[in-house]
Formats: sequence, structure tokens, C-alpha cells
Amino acid sequence: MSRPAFASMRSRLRSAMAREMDIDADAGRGMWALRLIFRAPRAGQRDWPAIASERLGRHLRDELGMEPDESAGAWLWRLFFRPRRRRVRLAANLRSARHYRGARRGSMLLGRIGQWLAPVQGVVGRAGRAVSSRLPTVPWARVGQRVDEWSSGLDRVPYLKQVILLLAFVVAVAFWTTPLAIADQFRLFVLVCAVMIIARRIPGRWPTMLMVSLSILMTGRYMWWRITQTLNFATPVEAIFGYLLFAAEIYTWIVLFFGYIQTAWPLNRQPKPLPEDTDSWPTVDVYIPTYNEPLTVVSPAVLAAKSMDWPADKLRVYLLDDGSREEFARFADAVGVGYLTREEHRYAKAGNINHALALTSGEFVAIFDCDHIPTRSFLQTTMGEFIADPQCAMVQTPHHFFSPDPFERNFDTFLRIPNEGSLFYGLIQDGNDFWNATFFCGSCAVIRRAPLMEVGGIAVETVTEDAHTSLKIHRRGYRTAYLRIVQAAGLATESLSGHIGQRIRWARGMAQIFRLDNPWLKKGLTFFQRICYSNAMLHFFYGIPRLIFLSMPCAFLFFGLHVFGADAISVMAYVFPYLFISGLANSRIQGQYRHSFWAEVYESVLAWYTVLPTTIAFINPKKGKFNVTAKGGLIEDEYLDWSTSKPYVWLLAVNLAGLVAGVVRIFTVQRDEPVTVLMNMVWSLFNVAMLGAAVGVAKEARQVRVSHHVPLHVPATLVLADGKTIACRTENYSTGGLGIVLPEALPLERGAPLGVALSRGDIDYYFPAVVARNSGNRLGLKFEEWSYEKETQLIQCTFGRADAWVRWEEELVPDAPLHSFVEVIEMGYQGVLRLFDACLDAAEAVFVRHPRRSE
Amino acid sequence: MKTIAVVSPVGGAGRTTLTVALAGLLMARKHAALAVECDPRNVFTFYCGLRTPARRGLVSHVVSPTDDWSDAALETDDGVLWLPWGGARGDGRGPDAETAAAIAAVLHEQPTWLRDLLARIDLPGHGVALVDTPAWPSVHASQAIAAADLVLVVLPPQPLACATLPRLRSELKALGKETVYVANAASPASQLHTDILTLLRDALGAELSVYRVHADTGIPEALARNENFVQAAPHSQAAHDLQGLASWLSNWIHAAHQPAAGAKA
Repeated sequence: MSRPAFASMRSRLRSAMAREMDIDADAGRGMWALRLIFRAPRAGQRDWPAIASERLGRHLRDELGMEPDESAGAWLWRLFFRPRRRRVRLAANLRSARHYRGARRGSMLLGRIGQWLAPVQGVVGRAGRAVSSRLPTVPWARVGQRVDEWSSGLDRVPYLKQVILLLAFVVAVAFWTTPLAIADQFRLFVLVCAVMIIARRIPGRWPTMLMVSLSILMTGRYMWWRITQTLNFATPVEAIFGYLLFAAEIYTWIVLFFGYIQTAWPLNRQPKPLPEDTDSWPTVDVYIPTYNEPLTVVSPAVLAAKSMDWPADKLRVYLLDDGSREEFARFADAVGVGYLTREEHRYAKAGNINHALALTSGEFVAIFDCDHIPTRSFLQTTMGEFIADPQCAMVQTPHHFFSPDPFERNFDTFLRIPNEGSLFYGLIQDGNDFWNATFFCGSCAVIRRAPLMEVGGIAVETVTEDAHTSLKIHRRGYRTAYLRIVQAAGLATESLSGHIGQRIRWARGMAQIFRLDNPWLKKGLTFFQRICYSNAMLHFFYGIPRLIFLSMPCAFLFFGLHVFGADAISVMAYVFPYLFISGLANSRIQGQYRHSFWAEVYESVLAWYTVLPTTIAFINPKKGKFNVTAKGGLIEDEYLDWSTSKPYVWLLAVNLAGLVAGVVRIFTVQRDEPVTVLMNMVWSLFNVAMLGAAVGVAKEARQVRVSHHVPLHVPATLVLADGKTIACRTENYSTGGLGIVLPEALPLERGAPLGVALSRGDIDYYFPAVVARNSGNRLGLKFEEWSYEKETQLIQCTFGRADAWVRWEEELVPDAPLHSFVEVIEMGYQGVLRLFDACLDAAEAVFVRHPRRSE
Repeated sequence: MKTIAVVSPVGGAGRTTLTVALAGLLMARKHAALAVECDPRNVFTFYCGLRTPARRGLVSHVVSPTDDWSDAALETDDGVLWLPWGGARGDGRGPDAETAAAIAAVLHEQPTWLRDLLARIDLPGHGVALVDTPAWPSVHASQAIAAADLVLVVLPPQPLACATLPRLRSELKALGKETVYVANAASPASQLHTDILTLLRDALGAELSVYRVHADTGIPEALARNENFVQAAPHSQAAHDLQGLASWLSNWIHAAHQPAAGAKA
């Protein structure tokens, strides 16, 4: 049979079969296969099998990444080998993850765990509510009040306080030193724990005192045991490491006890009223020292200071320009504030202020850093204290930051987890105030001129001139006050290196004061003032102890050194109760101002960098002069991102290696004491989390665009060119511009003119502007006819409002130690993942010709 | 039921706009709301979407006392009852001279005419009747003030409003009426408006409501389109202001209603 004949026969057969099977003669292979099994649909009906097979095919192509019309061989190949694809980053982008977390912005890990446990939680919660609704409620507020009355009654009996304290001390010593069997020690722990867990649910100050006392008892017990039982070492090397660890622990005990004293009774001072007659109000000089900051940063502070509510003839604002800049002189002249500058620039900010003190004469001096914008009510809030108490030499208010610091930005914890400063300004200063030991913090404070001149102006011997000055003022017997009401706000340091640089300066300065002007050595201070000051200074020596804790488990995991002369069971019986109880007590005291375990993260990041400056300053306080004024700009590229985290990468590597060594050890040489190995591994794992978090902070810092927009959230009214109005909110502010969040997208062209009105009280201020950018519901405006008068109005409507920051405390979330623990672990985990990603990136950059660009 | 008279010492202050907008917003706040037009202009029907002036309404009571006019009120789809002035004739003209004189006579002779009429309306305790008026002084505005539990004085930021305000204010004080002053159609872009608002605030103190209604060209546009402005432009600042004012009034009604309820119990 010839070829054409075969072909024609085949086509005839084909068309015959197609007719029989009711399909097109040139349909694809798939259709034939389908029709072999399924009949064609009747007219007017859908061909369900065809639709289903089409979907299946598309799904398979998607899954395998196949193009349509690829050969069978390609399909077969693709069944076993996946196509090349881009490496996925392991670390989550926390900022984009925020959207998933939703309004509550809780921890991601906790969210997931919470989801698993939701049924259990529901049942337990319901049972708990059912039980608690049947229990009688205790009027804790009234009980607390009753206790207050009793105690103040008892306080009036002479010598009773001393006797009670002595008795308490005797009991405590007995408690600390009584030896107990291990089982009894455990029982004691359980008992104390139960009391703590109940006490922390009771509001008021007396339960806090109870928790602190219990913590002191348990810590003392641990200390006694630690000193008497655990300092026996087999070899000199072990002894060296053992005593190192012991020294670090002594440091933590001192800081713990001093901290308890310092924060025993936060004063919570309220503003005092001013006299009705404004003629009797004193004159105030406002100093705004600046050195190298741009005018755009300084001008809002100056304009806001000028708009403070105070009799105009009694308020003088001075711009202290240490940079002697022509532009600043012109600005000061234009807005009508004094401009002071000097020839030489000795002693940086302190010298600058002292120079101004000589040239001005106001009874009081208010000092603001050039990027702190005061509210209009600042003076009326603070000055009442001076009039009520003629011995009061200084009133300090909190430093508040309306932008996230590097930690908050890189881990997206802004407004979710309190930052480093919030403990100091929320609690420690308030606690200091009780002991009349409020420090001057360099900004947002008012000082009475006479005492300041008496101590020779602002101190110039150290780089933390502020704390040193208040120390000198306290020595003269003056009082200081702290008002925990935010009356000024500023920008947080933008880069991690700047942040670290600032902390280094504080640490150096505090160490200098500790050496040059130790609070324990000279006369004039009360015992508790000495404690408050020395705790503030000791705080900055955390570098060495922290590094010891971060590396010590490796001494055992690598070399088998027993740095802690006790078996695992007694460690559990003494160390855990001490850590657990003091953790609970601190969590109670610090409450909403510091979340448990976050202090460890902050300290871990800064530890390495504060070690050297504090040590050098401690040995020779005169050595290593820093230029003090520059904020952030001073530290060169040396510490930037990767180089900042280098020490932590090493420590992390050591700890990870220690974990591996531990695994090896547990199965080989140390099979006889697996619990000890395990405990050291847990310790090491905790260190890994801390160090991971420390590395993670540095990792992101590099990618973040440095922004000059100041976050700003106030209601505003848009007036469109056609006379329609839109109610909206502002989002951020930059000189001469405003970011707006619209309720719905508007069809506005770039350059379209419109107006925006902001209100101060019930007066509208109108600012003509043009559209600079418009994307979705976000609108960027550029002001027209911008002048200092307009800028003043804008500041008055926004940062200068008396109620601008009143809600800062409400935004803080109370501490939940377990929650916080999970969150810190999560941050550590993310940090390690970020490091891993970065290592792969680096490897790719070396081995692959076209490395993946970072997004 | 509480009665709120919406009055103003000058024309074109936005009384009718405010009356109808507030009636709708109070309805949305669960107050049974009745908007009453005590104004011979007889324009209410245009505000609720009709094209012709109302034939029946408040004056039906005077013009044809025998007729049952209990269904003269219109109900819009948001549930507000609208009682227009009425009296339009078939050819679109208003009442003839004789009827007009009769109406005027009733208004002049019976100062509590409107008050008595409103008293016959059975609205729940937290219900509210908003009465629109022509510019004060006029017999219609006086009727509304006599009927009112609260007088809402609408002040446009115009010089004349400042000039005529003291007379109205002392009149209201003499009558012992509870009064709230609302600045309407204030544009932040106008320095004159800002200055007049400052002046008003100085003169009135706390009596001037903090809810000033911003000028918005969307309001007349909405009327031209037969739309409810607040619903058509919910994001406009003027709508926000009206919402604020309505919330304030709602609170006032609850507070004013509460002691009465307490007394009954």
C-alpha cells in the first residue's frame, strides 16, 4: 500500500470515528482521550468533563512551571527536577508582617501558638470566669487605703520604724542563712511562688512591696548559698573563671538591690498651680543650644519655644549657636529671638550654656536640645513647683520621642514595646524624685539660676554634664523635682551607630563622674541620694558582666570547666527561684515601662561598645576626649551595620559552636552528668536568642532609608480648589510640607492648588499648598508662601498643643513576662535568620556571577 | 418630645440646610425626628426631592380647619417626617390675600399657636421636632421660639450677623430660652471669617458651639442633585461638623429628657 493511500485511509477512518464520537476531526489528543471515556454533551448543555480536564491541565502546568505545548520529555523531566528559582529569604520582613498581625500587633509566634491553643484557652478561660464570678470580690483600693492609714499612724510612733526595720533585718538574716534540704528548698520556692503569683494580681503599692521583700529574701538566700557552697573549684583555671562569674553576679545583686531602693515608691508628682497675678511670675530664659544641626531641625524648636504660654515680657528665647552660622543669626533675627555665639568652643554644650549664662539675666533657665519641641504649656506646668518650693533648684520633664529609635524600627516594636528611655522617664526618675534625687537630663528642664551659678554653672569636667550638674546642686542641699508629664518631644536618633554613640557618651560620662566626683565620697548628699546616683552610674558598667554571662556557658561546653561548684539539682533549687522571683518582682515594678527580657536585649547590643569607654574612663577619666555635641554624626562608618554587629556575630558563633560541643559532650565524655550539660546548653541557647536579637537590630539598620519626615497625627481639613472640603488626618511633617491620609482616593493632579486647615483649640489656621504627590489615599502637600509666621502657626497647631503627648502612657502595654519571653525569643530567632540570609547573600556575591539584589 | 427652633438674625444663614441635615442625622441616632417648616416660603418639598411646593402642611390647620391634615407630613426614606408650610394652590401660587391675612392674624393673635399644634403630635420622649424659620425678627420665628425647648441660632460669618446678634441674644435671654449658637459656612481660607469667628467667640463664650460647620460647595450641589449632602459626601469636613453637632444635640435631648423621665417615675 502506498503512502498517500495509507494517509487517505487514515483520514477517512479518522473522520468516521470523529463522527461516531461526535467531535471535531482535528481536535487535540486530549479531546480524543476525553471522548473515549465521556460522551459529548447534548446540545445546550455544558461540557463538564472538558472543563474539568482543562482546569486540571492548567493546574498541573502551574505546579510544574511548564509552558503550554511542551514535549512529553520535558514533562517527564519536570516531574523529577524543579526549575531554577530565586532563593527565598528565611527571615520574615517584620514590617510587612505587621499587616497580618492586624490591629493588635502582637507577636507573630504568639499569634500562631495562640491559634493552636485557642480551644484549650477558651475552655480554661470560661472555667476561670465561671469560678471567679462566684468568688467574692475584694475592694483592693479600699484595703490599700486602710493600709496607708495604718502605716501613717504607726509612722508617728517614735523609734517604731527603726525597731521594725531592725527586726525585719534579723528575720531576713535568719531566713537567708537557714540551711534547708534540697526538697525543702523546693517547697519554699513553690510557696513563695504561689504568694508572688497571687500578689501580682492585686493592684496597689503594698503588694508590690510584698513582692520586692520576697524577692530580697530569696535573693539573699541564693547569695548566702552561692558564697558558702559554690566557690569550691578543682583547678586554678576553674577558679579564675568561677570568680569572674561570681564577680559579675555580685554586680547584678548590687544593681538589683539599689534598683529596688531607687524605685521603691515612685512619687508621681503633680503640677502645682501658679499665682493668679501674672505680674508676680518670674522671668525665664529659654536656651536652645545647637552645634551642627541643620536649621530645618532647629527652627521648630525655636518657634515652639517662642509660642509657650508665658507673659511676653518675661520670656526670652536664645538660640545658642556653637557653629557660628550666618544663616542661624539671620533666622534668629527674623523670628525675634536672641542669638548668642562665642569665639572658642570649649566644653561643647556645657561651655555653650555657661557662656550664655554670663550674658543673660533671667531668674530661671529652661534648656531644650535643639530637636526637642516644647508644648505651649511647658512653663505653666513646670514653674509652679519653683514658686511652691523656694528650695527647688530644678524641674525635669520626660524626654519623649515621636519617632522610633533603631531598635523599635528594626524590630517593629514602636508603640508596642516600651523603649529604653521609657523605663528611665516613666519609673526611675519618678522613683528618684521620692528620694529627692531627680537628675538633670540636659533638656526639657528648668533650672533656677542662683543655685546653678552657685555650683559654677553647668559642669564641664565630664561628658555627661547634666547628671554631674544636678549632683553638684544636690550637694548644696537644694531640691529637684520630676514631673512625669510629657511637655516636649523630639526625634529619636536615626541610625544604630548614632544610638550606640550616644550611649557610649553616657556610659563614659557616668564612669567619669564615678571616678572624679563619686557620690559616696563627698559630703552633702543623703544616704539614699548616694544610692540613686551610684545606681545610675553602676548601670553603665553592665558591659563586662553582660559579656561574661554571654560567654560563660562555653567554658563548660568547650573545656569542661565547672565554673559553678554545685550539682545541677541544687542549681535548680537556688538559681531558678532567685531568677524567677526577682523577674516577677521587677516585672511588677517596671510594669508598663519595661517589658521583661527586653533590658537584656538592649544591654546585649550595647555591652561590647560600652566596655572599653567605661573601663578607660574608670582608669583615667581625663583620657579619650570626645567631642560631645554631635549627636550620631560623630561615630564614623566604623560601627555601621555589619561592623556594628561583628562582635556579636563572633559571640553568636561561639555560642552556637558551644551548643554543638554540648551535644558531642553529652554523648561522649560527660555521659555521667547530662543535666549539667543540658543546663549549660539552655543557658547558651538563651544567649543565642539575645545575640540573635542584637545582630538582627544591626542587620536591618542598613536597609532603612533615613527619613526626615516627622511623624505627626492630627486631624486636618482639606479645602479643594472647587470649594469642597475633606476631613482627613496628617501623617507626617517636613519643613514646608505635609503628608496627609485621605479617607478615600481623590483625583488630584501634581501641582494642583488646594488648602489645608489645622486647628488650635477652636481656631482654624489655613495653609495654602499644592499637591506634591498623590498615591492612593496618601497625599503629599507642599506649602506655598512659606514663612516663619506660617511655620509658627503650624507648630502651634501640632507639636505645640498642650495635649499633644498626653496619651503617651495610655499607649504603653502592661508587661506580661511569658509573652515578653516568647517575643524576645522570636526576635532572636529572626535575628539569626537574618544573619543566615546575609551569609548566603555574601556567599552568592562571591560564587554567583549575578548576585541577587537585596530588596 | 423636645422642640428645637432653628433661627437666625440674618437671611441666607443656612437654617433650612441645617434643619433638614440635622433631622436626618438625629434620626440616624435613634431619635424620632420631625422637621417642621414654619416659614411661608414653603420650600421644604424641594429639600426632600419633590418638584412642586406643598399644598398641605402647617397652614392647612388655618386654611381648611375642617379637613383632616394629619397625613400632611411627608416621610423620606431615612424615616424623617417632614411637615412643610403648605398652602400652595394648583397654579403654583401661594394662598390668596384673604387666606394670607387670616394666617397672619392667627399667628399674631395666638403666640402659642405652633406650640399647641406641636403638643398634639405624639412623638416618643426622646423624639425631636426641628423647626425651620425665616430670618428673625418675624412672627414665624417668634412662634418657633415660643414653641422651642432649645433655640439653635445659626450665625454665618458675616459682619451683619455680628451687628444683629446682640438684639436677638438679649431677646432670647429675656424669654429665658436655652440657646446654642452655631457658626455656619465658615471658610478657614478667609481671614474675615476667621476674625468674625474670633469676635463671636469673645462675645458668646461657651454658648458658641465648638462645632462650627465649614463652608462647602458640595452643599448647594447636593441640593441641586436632589441628594442628601451628608450621605453623598460623608468624608467632607462639613459632614463631619454636622455629625458632631448632631451628636451634641442628641446628648442634649437625652439629658433634657432624663430629668422629666425621672420625675414621672
